[in-house]
Amino acid sequence: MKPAVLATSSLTLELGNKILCSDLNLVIESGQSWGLLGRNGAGKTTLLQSLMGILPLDAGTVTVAGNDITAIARRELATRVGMLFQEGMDTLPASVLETVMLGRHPHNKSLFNDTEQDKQIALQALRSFDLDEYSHRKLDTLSGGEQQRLALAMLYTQRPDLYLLDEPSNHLDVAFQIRLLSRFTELVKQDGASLLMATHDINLAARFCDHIVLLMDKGEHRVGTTEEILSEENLSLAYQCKVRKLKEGQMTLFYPDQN
Amino acid sequence: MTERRHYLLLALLVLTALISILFSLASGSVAVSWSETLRALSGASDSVQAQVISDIRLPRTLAAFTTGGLLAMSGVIMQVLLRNPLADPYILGISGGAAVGALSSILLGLSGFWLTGSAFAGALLSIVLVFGIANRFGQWSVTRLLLTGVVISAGWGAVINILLTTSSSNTVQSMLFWLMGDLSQSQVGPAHGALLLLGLLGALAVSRSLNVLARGDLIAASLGVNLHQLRISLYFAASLLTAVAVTVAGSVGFVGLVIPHMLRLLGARDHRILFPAALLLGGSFLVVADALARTIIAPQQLPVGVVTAIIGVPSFLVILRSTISK
Repeated sequence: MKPAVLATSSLTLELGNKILCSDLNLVIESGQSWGLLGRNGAGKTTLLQSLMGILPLDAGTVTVAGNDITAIARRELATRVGMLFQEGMDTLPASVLETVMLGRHPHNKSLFNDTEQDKQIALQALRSFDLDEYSHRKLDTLSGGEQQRLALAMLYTQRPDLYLLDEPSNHLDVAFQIRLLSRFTELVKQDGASLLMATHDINLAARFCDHIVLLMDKGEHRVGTTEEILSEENLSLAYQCKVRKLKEGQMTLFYPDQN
Repeated sequence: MTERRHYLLLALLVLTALISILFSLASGSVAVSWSETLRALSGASDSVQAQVISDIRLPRTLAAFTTGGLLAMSGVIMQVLLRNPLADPYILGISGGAAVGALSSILLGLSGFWLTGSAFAGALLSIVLVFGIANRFGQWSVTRLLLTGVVISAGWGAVINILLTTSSSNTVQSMLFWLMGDLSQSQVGPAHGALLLLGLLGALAVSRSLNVLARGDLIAASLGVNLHQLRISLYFAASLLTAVAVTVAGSVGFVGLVIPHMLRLLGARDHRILFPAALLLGGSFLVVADALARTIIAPQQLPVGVVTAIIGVPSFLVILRSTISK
């Protein structure tokens, strides 16, 4: 059997004295899309960055395609796992096209030249995210939403097997949230890749994810299918606030009750 | 990369460099025509003017070009390393350390080798000091490096002021020239040229990674850049380039800060183009500034650092304005 795209075994993460998650066992298979939910400060970003090999693990292991991430070269890892961050990218000037091209960095072995293929992949990503007319615009002239689209396009240019998204809906209005995430998840599915997205929006996770990791207090967590995990009971416990579930035709909606 | 406008820019900059070098050779207290300058360079003339050019002006012009190139490349590296548009080669205290070394030897009446040697030693001391302190408490972060550098720099500033206020007025004069950057005593040899080239080659080798690093640490790490290793190499590379430049010409301001920004505004944002462009434009800029420093109030000379600011400020503002209106 093919090894999982990403698997964690007995993963423990701490921040200061706070245990963010303990003994987390997660197996992400190709084609799956996972949602990562939890309160503010529950450790969603920390978990994603640990899976990316950027932050150290306190205990346990993370394997990517069967190999321990600490044993994979950074560049090799970057061809398998890619991440969307919340930080801005526009301190120093760059154009949209130049930025999207950076996604090919881990794939390009040449010290100096870009390949024609890389350029085509980058241009295609710009088209996929409606940025083709922006290719010569400077980053600092883009709106928040445009920057977020650019970040997604750059990540898609990277073509990893697993996409880690940290709050992908940031800076996007409701219409764009649905349109862009539909587009993105479609592209990911079509390539047979997987994704794990951290979000504070339960409804977004319910809509786009087939599996959920729900981080709770004191390092506890729930892992399973969206159906199993997104219950009023689990969510109310995780957010420490009464969360109600509403069925409306095909849609399931979650909303916080008073108190 | 490989866009035609990039190559056009580089070709223009090569031309600019050649013209500015000729301009510098031809100007001075004795004006020489450009055709006589060319003849002197080819060795076809042995007039007095030809001797002035080959013995006095050529070494000084080469020193100016080398210093400018080193400073501009170092500025590019510092701005990416610290991801701060205000960063310049001196921000981490290298020029301060060099200045304390140089001023001390001026105070002791030393010159020549001792002056440059102590400036270089001061610069190295500062590099090691800043790195050691920033590195001491485990995790090495850009913010810590920047803060350490700025604080050490302020410390050097205090020592410089002590030296200035306690020295006699005629030593203060030469101290001020050193502090503002001055090429009148400067000499470069093949080693400097080799460093300039090696610096460029090294920078080109990591320029793809620098393009990624310019977007942010996390993004760079997620795209496969080995941050720790890259940052340390960048710190030491930029520091060494700066230390050598400062040793040659004192702390010439403005070149390392403004040349990289000018070029970015002109479209050279990709480091594969930005580094060679910075070398060329930084070199040309300092060559022209030095030629003017020698001629504006001839036979007296101005410190070149004054001239870099005088011509740099308006030309930078013009470029800034013209690119905003686009």
